Amino acid sequence: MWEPDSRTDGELLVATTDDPQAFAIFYRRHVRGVLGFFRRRVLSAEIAFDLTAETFAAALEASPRYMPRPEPARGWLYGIAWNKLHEAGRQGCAEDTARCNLGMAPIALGNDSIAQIDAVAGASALLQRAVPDQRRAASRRRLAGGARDEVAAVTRCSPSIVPAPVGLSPQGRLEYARND
Amino acid sequence: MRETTDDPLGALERELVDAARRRSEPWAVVPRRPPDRLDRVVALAFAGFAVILLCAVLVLLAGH
Repeated sequence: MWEPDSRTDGELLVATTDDPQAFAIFYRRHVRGVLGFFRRRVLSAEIAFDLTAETFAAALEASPRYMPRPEPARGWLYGIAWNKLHEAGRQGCAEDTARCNLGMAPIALGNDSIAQIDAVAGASALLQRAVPDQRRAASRRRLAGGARDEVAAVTRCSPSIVPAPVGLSPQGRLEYARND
Repeated sequence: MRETTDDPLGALERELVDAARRRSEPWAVVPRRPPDRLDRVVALAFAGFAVILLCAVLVLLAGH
């Protein structure tokens, strides 16, 4: 289990340039909220995870340009999330530009992964902790109103996420990832 | 080889931290793929050229 950190989200983002672990703390604080945000708006757990990964990669990419501000950095993060959702809905598939720019390796999801994502996202949806910031970010980008509850028309994952076929054994998933 | 995982959140965290580390320590970049055939050919050619150059220098020095 990780130790709580007294730094604010903004301080963590500023520190990320010199301290990679600062971004890990920021990630752990918000990954459940962001995953729940996407899971309520897209049809599959794989796509929700794909968009979550892209959101945090874009946040990492933009962190050197982050300027501390009075409002919580969580709103900045959900602003990125809204943009990623909007872009994916427009294109019909999640993008992985930020992950490619950062040289991140693709992640192959197993059947247990899907259950974990749904469990985490479901718990987050119950908590609804991030909703005020999401609303604020949405209004800033003129995406407020009905858009919050719409399901985005995202039909495909990006190449950075490999959804494993349903019913494959752990050994089979390993072979699948090796051969893909 | 792609990473197969039953802990996607943990795998994503590791990827993000590695990416953050590559950005903060560009000199510590670890190659993400093994050297391919072309890389090995170029490395061998470079090593061969260096050996020939060294031999030539030694021959010249021995001549004096």
